[in-house]
Amino acid sequence: MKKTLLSLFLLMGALLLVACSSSGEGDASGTESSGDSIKIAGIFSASGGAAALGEPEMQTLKMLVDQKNADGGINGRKIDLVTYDDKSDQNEAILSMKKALTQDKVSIVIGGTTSGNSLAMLPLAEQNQVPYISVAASKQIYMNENGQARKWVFKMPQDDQQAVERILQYLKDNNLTKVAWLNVANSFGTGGHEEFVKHMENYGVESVIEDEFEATVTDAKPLLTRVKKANPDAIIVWGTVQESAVVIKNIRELALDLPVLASHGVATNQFIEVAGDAANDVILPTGKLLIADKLEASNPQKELLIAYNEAFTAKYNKPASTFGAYAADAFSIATKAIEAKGDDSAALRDYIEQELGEYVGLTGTFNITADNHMGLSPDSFAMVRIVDGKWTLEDK
Amino acid sequence: METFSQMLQLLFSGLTIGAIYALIAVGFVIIYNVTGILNFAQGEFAMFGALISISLVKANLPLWLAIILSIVIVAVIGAVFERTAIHTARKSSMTTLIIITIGVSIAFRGIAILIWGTQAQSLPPFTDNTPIKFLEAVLLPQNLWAIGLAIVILIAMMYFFNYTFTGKSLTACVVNPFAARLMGINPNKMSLLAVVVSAGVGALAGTVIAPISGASYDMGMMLGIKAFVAAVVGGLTNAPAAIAGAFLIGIIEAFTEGLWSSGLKDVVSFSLLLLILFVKPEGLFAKASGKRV
Repeated sequence: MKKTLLSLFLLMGALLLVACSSSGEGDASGTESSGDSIKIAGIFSASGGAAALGEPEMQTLKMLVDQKNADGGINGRKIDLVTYDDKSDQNEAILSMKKALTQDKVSIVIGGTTSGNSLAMLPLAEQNQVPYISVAASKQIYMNENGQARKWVFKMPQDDQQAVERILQYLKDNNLTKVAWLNVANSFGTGGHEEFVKHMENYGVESVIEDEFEATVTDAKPLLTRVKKANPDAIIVWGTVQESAVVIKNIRELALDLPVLASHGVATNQFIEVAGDAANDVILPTGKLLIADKLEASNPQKELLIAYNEAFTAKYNKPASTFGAYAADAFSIATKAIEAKGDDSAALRDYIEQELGEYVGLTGTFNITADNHMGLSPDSFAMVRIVDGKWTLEDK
Repeated sequence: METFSQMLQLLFSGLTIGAIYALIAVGFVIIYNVTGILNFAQGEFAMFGALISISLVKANLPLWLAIILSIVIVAVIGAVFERTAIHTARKSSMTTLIIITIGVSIAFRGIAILIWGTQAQSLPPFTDNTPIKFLEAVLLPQNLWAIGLAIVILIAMMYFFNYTFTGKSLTACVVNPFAARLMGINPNKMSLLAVVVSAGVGALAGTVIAPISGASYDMGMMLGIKAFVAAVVGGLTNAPAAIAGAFLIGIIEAFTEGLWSSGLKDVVSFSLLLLILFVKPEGLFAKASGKRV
């Protein structure tokens, strides 16, 4: 008996060992490292739970650095990109950051696929005084507890606030003032709910019912019977793919004939796949990459988005994703700073904060200031509607 | 009228979710009855059932074949699980065995992440899923499938345990393993059979729920816990009682969510669990027999 238990433990130990050794040090796949190169670090969750986000980010950064180096680098200096895969693990992320700053001594860091990883990594950037451009969403990444900007940290994606405001703007424009708000019961959901409550009055929107559903929801019809009774003009379902798909399917099954709005968290083709026909007519805010070809020619983002999408598709044989675009924006802002200031970390930080000014990127038009290290506004989101399983531009 | 149709809607929802809990709860009861183990990897059988059938459908197999194959595959997984994790440790204490099942459930989730990733997937409904309107309330054919299958399993289990030799042998192992062995029943074989059957029923539950709520690697945990609550509330020693408990929990959850708040439905069902454990630990519908306490 003891023997079998022992062997079980040994087996588990062996498994753990395999897991550990496979997650050893980050692969330092530096492109050429000549003496006069500029070192930058890319730390992404290219494998593990957040790989769907991190992989295109990593691929985008590698692609752009290769392009830049093929064009002769920045001011004649090659870029030496050191990439780390944090395997969607916070500890790995911290170790990678430490390695990038203390061993590889990079001038600037791009990465942090999930908010958790970004938040775990940023204290190291602050301590070592190296500018860090995060590609994750949480507001806390660039703002400390007192609402002030963190000195060395910048962030590319919008906050949830901009997405909520974009939805509120849409509701106001379409005169849908009495709405039902349903959010998933996790940090993404409650975060969205807070922003909704904070901003709805500014847009003349009132909620007739606010409630939560679980991330593991299997049947939201009981909840929806109450929504039906509250008689709203529109329903907002704030969640990510799986749970939103269930709730929206249930809305269709109950034949609630109301406009359904969803969060930017479902702006992926996977949502259309999982929700099927129920996805049709759902309206949601999304980055403009999904509908780049439908933007007006006068939109300064249009050309950038199409060029990025084409380059990415040509190289990796799959469509570009919004997450990759965050990495692309981070790299182009870093490139501009390096062009102007060389490789001095402090000078790069000051440039991004004070001299970059208005900058048109893939995600939107950045207006980074000393108080706002993110700099995007709600109109960086477009409102799209799903029609016959395709994304169409609803508004702007 | 409107209130009535709301009540009816809540009842439909409660019966559907209750049916899913029932299918998983049956698995709990069978394994518990034969081996005395609470198998906390039960929900993971449903997860495997759902994800394997989705993969088979994606490989262009017809839906019915995919479902049958996935039930068979999960039953085999169950057999391997019993032989390697339960059988080898069968002489350790009950607590050890229960903790082994928890460990296995974590390992199963890990395996599922490796194979299918973390993304949600979905299975087409068994039959055309046009909603049926009944007195202003909506019922989906897939819901009927869930409820119907739970009832079929209920009848099958009652028949199996009361009227077949194998079923009787299984029961005998519980009542008195020593006497059963003297009668030529092999408890080892029975334990394997119990795990295989409950893995198969769990897989069926997974394929039924996949078209309703989608499927992902972590779906098993909550389903398993709820089914456990249902089994305890109804009565752990008796499959029909556990199924009745599952429907009760499903209906109570639906009404709490529909009339009160979604956040409170877990509070209500877990409070019910505690209450039952204090007041009537053998379960609401089980005959007090002193077989197991």
